[in-house]
Amino acid sequence: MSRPHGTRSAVRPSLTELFFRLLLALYPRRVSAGEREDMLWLFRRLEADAVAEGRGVRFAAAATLDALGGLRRAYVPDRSLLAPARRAERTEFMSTLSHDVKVSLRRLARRPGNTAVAAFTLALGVGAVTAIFSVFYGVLLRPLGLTAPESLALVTLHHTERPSDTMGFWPSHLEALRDQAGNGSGLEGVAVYYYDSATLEGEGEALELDTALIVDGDFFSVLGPQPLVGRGLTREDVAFGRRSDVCVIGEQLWRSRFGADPRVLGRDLLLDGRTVSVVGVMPNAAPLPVPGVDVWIAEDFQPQNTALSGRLSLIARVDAPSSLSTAEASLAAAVTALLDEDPRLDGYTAGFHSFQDHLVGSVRNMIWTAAVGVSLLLLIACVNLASLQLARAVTREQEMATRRALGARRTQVFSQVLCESLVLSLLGGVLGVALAAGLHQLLVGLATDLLPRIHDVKLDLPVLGFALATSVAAGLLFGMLPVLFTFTRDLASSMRSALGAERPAWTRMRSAFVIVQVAMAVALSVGAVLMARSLVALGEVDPGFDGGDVGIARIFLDGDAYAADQQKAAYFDQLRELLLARPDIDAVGASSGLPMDPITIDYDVPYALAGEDPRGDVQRQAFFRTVTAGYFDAMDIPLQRGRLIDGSDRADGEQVAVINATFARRAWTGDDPVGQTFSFYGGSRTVRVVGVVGDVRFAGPADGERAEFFVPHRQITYGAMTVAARSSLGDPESAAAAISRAALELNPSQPVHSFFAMSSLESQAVASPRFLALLLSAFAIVALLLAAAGIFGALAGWVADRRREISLRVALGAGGSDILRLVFGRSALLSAVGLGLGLAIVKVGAGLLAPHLFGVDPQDAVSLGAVAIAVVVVTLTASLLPAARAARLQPTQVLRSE
Amino acid sequence: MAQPLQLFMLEISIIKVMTRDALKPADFHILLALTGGPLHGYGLVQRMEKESEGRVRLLPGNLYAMLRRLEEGELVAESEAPDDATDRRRRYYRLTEAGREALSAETGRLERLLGTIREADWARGGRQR
Repeated sequence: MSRPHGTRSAVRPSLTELFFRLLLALYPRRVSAGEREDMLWLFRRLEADAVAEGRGVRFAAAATLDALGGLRRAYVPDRSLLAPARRAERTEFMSTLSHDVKVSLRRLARRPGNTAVAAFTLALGVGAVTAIFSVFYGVLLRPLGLTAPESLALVTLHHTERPSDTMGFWPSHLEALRDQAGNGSGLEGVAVYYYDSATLEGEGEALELDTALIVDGDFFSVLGPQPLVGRGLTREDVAFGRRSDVCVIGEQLWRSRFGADPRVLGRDLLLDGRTVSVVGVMPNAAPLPVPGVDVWIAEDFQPQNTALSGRLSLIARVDAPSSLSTAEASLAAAVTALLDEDPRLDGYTAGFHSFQDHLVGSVRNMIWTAAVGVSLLLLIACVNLASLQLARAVTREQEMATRRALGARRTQVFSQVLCESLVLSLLGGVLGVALAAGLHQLLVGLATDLLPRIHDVKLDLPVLGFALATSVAAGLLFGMLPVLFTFTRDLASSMRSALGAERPAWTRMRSAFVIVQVAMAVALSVGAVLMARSLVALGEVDPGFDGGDVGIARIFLDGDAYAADQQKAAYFDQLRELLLARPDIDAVGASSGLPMDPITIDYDVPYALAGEDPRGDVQRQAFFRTVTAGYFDAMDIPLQRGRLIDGSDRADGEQVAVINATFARRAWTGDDPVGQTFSFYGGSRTVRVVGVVGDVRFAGPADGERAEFFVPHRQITYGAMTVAARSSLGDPESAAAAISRAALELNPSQPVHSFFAMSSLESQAVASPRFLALLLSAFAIVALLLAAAGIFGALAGWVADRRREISLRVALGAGGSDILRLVFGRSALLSAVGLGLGLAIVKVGAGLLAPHLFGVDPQDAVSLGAVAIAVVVVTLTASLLPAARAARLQPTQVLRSE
Repeated sequence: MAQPLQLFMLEISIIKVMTRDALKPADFHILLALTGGPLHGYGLVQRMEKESEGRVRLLPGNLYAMLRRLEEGELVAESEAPDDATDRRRRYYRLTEAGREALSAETGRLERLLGTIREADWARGGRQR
């Protein structure tokens, strides 16, 4: 504080003054410095006066109290002077508001039917939209729960000429990339992982863990997921070249095996015969690259570990999302540098993909489609609401006009209408949330296996906030639209129309509403019909095998107990014999890759025909499977030429292969493939073709042609196989159970991982189109119903408006059929325009649906025709009652009542 | 029709409330002191002390709090220093039109009150006007 001007030169400030100045410093900022200066100046003068008059002590006491009181009043202004006026204002406002709410409720209750329909319509729209939004938000928008997920990238090695030809990384890459991190490369850190399976033993029966993720020591620090309990794995957990003695388990395993006991931390598990102790639990919802991981184990990947060459998946963290391309370039350089060491990398380059896209990319389009569909539905609901409110506004126009004529200001009428709309919106919103809760359950149940991040799909605060905002916005906007419309009319014409004159403006507006509704319903119905037809087309596709009676079981042989190839081959031979001995099993076989199985081993290998250089620039690629005898019989895959793989194919016998029809056509166009030879694995293996089998749709009915070849399991032996058994009783579940029992009989300590009917794989393969078809059908049905209600309401209103005209026509000799024609003509006109608009929307929106369609064109005439017929039927049905009412009008009565 | 009537009723109620609620004595004294022209803080204190025969003696903390409140209520306003001012650096306060009205309303109220008291004949010792 600056030195005050014009005071007597005080030798030194008194204690009271110091206190006063201290409090002054604490004053709020709105008390200006000038004012504080004045206060201090006044204080000094009064103190000087008091001292001069010999009452310094009393002054000190009073001034101390005064200083405290002044400070308090600076913060808590005493408004007593202004209070009366303010109090009056507030009571006035409060009474208006509560009055408006009371009046609104009374009005809404006076027309319960109308109110219920309006609230339910809104609830339908809000409920559906909220349920879909919960998915939209949970999968696409909700933060991932990782540290800066936008800076994470999934890195792949793909061939520069054949982009679908991808490879995993080498352990030696990891070392090179770690060296690159920092140093201006744009890379901040890298993490790698690969899949494995593990057998959990001890405490109860042995449990085959489907997915064990083997990660490097940096994995958890690079991704940064939050553990549920305990911690993630770190670099300190791994010793040179070894796997960690600690592990992190998944929430699912934690709940199923350990009863969600938090004391699981520190417990020892026997995994594949090795003791590891649990240090953490990862939640199901943790957005790690793969869902459903049972256990994470860290490993120190050393460059000399060639067993893992090309098997590692890589995740990179870049400095910032913008430095993805820098990082891509430096990684490409690192990959090129490693080329000299490994010729297999020739022609491959590194590509960066956003981690978020990787998690949800496959369903993004589907969710958007559902979101667009449900938005159309909401729009229909809103238009219906507007139509309903319009009908009320018409009947209320007289009341409004009267109120205005009596001097009510527009703002007053407006606030009453606003309040009514708000109350209705909230009613609809509450009902909508209840509906959304039900729909949400249904959706999550339907889409559990379909959607990533399904654990993040919940009805929580952001979603409920969205529901509230949607219902209020929809209710206000569409509920008030008609009322706002009356505001544009002058009082005189309002009064006139209220007194019964014709209302062409209303009619036009309602007609517009009907057209919009029909158009939206058409768009949704076309989408639904297309999806349904696509689903039918998928079902009609011959998959190339018959899985109807087949039960399957996955068996991953314990690598220690079954180390040698002969042991593995013998296991599956014995299992097959055990099963074939049963009367209820017709055929049994095993394959390294079963069609439509999402967790199968499925990769293609380059091959060379006789006379081609197997190490040269090989362009031929075919998918490789190893199968046991009986596999083709069990799956009912037809033999076209030659013979199948059977018991005569021994490990030390001639190396043979069975190829599929596409392979035969691509490799030996026109020539007989049986007896020909080809080589793969870089020429290290040459096989002679002994037979040709039919093609199967490997990845699902929508899959295209694939060249495949099959080698005898005894000649190329895998430990992880899927056994298929055909039931002679038409009971695939019991066939699957029989495999499991036979496996236990053969070796009780070698568990069967999972067994189920083949048909469940087939239905899973069409889960995504089925989900969309189901959703869109539900939307379309509701949309058609709402549109029908809209048409009904609009026509009924139209007939009511034209009572006089119709009566006059009847009086002048028009027959009932003429009147019917008049009304139906009206409804036909509206629906025709709506249909046209709807088809135009379909044309624009076809691109969104196209990726989900199979075997049906988005502009498919049959689908469009079917929808057109449905719309005509619906509109005509909705017009029946109003038309009948019009035809029954008695001219004498009408004219008398007017 | 309804609207002007409502507004009128509102005004009546506000007037009623205002006449029912008296001005606080300190506020009254500040307003009264300012009738003679703009004053700064020290001037105000001296004037009020004189006018109240030494019974009203305000100190800076509360005085300025009251001035702020009266300023917000637009009963007083900050003012230019008068020509004969000795301390041009200080803030001067003057009475606003609303302040003058409030003062006369309060004076009237006190007068009516006094009248009532005199009629009641139990306050004979009251000062003559």
